[in-house]
Amino acid sequence: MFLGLFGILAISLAIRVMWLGYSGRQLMFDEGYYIPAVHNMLGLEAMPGDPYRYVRDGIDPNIEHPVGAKRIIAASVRLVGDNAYGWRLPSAIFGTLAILFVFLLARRLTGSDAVGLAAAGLAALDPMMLVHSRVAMLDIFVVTFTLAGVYSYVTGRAIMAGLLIAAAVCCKLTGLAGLVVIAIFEVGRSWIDRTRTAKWSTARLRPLLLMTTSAVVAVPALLWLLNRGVSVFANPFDNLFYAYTHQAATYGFRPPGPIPQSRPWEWLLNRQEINYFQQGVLHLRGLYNPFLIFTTVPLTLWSLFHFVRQRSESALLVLAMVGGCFLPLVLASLQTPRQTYLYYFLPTLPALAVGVSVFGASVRLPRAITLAYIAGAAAAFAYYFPFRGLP
Amino acid sequence: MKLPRVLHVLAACLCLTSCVDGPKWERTMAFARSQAQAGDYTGAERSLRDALDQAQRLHPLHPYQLETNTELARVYFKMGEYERGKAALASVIGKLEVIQSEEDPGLARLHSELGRVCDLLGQLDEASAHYLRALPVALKVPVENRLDYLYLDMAVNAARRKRTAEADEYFSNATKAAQVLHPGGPIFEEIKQKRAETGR
Repeated sequence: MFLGLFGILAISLAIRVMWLGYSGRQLMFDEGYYIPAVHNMLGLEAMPGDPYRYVRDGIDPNIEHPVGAKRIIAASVRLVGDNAYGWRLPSAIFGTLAILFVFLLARRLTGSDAVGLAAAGLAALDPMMLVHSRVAMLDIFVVTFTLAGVYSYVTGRAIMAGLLIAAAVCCKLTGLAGLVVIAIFEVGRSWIDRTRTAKWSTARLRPLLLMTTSAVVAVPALLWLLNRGVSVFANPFDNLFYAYTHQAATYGFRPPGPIPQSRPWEWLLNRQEINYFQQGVLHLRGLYNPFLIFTTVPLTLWSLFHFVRQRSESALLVLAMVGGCFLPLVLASLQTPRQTYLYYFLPTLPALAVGVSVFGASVRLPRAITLAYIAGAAAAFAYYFPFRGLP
Repeated sequence: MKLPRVLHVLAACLCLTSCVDGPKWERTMAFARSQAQAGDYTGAERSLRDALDQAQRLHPLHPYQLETNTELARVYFKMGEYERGKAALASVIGKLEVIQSEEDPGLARLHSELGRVCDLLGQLDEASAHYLRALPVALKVPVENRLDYLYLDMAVNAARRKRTAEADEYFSNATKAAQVLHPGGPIFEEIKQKRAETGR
């Protein structure tokens, strides 16, 4: 088991780090906001095309998102240097850690090393996970902190879970989904208890309350610390209010455009690919592995069935992640068309990796089908692999 | 007892989300702009006030508030309501200054506009202060920030403040800048006219 996990993590880290500097000092996709913001925070020279060219020195001008992930990138730039590796190494490390937490979660909930390895392997084979582990954007930090928070929770460390969810929120407000995931998960576990004891137990509420309280306290405290010296906001609550209103009152949905917007239900069909970057042999394509994304609907239905029939906590986790990370976006888009992009599904993706692995183990698929599925997922990953040749 | 409680929560959630309906604000702004284009400034003002009500539910630094106040200021100028236009512009500038530096051409342009409104209101010293904040940036980006027109405004302002030497220098600078930026343009006629009006 250890060798298998080590192999998956080592290969994942290697393909996340290799040739990170291939594009030189060119920025990829939304790095065009975050790296100039980091530059301004660190007092470094403005980059060409800097959207924050005329902001006050030293502040984080990218005020629509909390400063957490940008602080991590800034620390890396200080440590490694103002270059592609300094910008993107944190994403590569967090992207690899995300795979580790997928393994830990799947193994914890199923008690099976094989399921854990399969889930980690599938998460590692997702092109969008890879792309976000190679660009200095915020989303991979949210995914990893959320997974770490959920893992802490299921292992009984509720306060730590709250702190990790708070860290996710301090990177991007969408980290709040972690609270919803854990709440759904706990409600599901309470239901499982009830079916066994024929009564609702309040014992389950204690860790949930602890986690929520620690997150509610930690978010402003952490944000206050992170904001020191770089924020334009008077206090963390003001910052959160801005981030909330910016996310909630976003500009209307405009399907055509250089960066294709898409509705949450389109993501399930892998529609509206995002071209993150293309130069020479490098082409960063923002798409999910079809062998994972196309399973969302059947897998969610099966998980519901499996949860109800078998009281499966692993199936419950899939439901909680789909319910906490994906459904709110669907509801928000149904209420008002808003700017949403394919990569907003990223926090839900680990649930699919876990769910598919649990499904494979539960229904005992014939070996040939399992192998064919893995081969298909690997082939899709190879097809979408960012490097089309040797640099 | 439980159901009404759930309904209350749902209603509260709905109110919270309807407070921040971006597309509704966009529609209101588009309607206001079309009214202003058609010359219906009273209608445009009413629509913009509606848009501002929506935007004010958001954070004060949210772009909706900035954009609405800027449009509102423009409509007030068209209506000749300079005091209200000044208040709207000053609100935008105050918020922008939280993030933007003095080097920002957009902010400098707003200072120019605010200077012009102050001039129209007879608040000459305040107008001069705004022009002086706009000038260093206009010197760096003369085309974008219409340096020649800024000099012309400064010249008229100085003349009205009885700073004759200053006014002459600004008139001369306006002419020089116009020769580069707008050769043969209508600004030369304006300079001539303003010189005559101010006796320079």
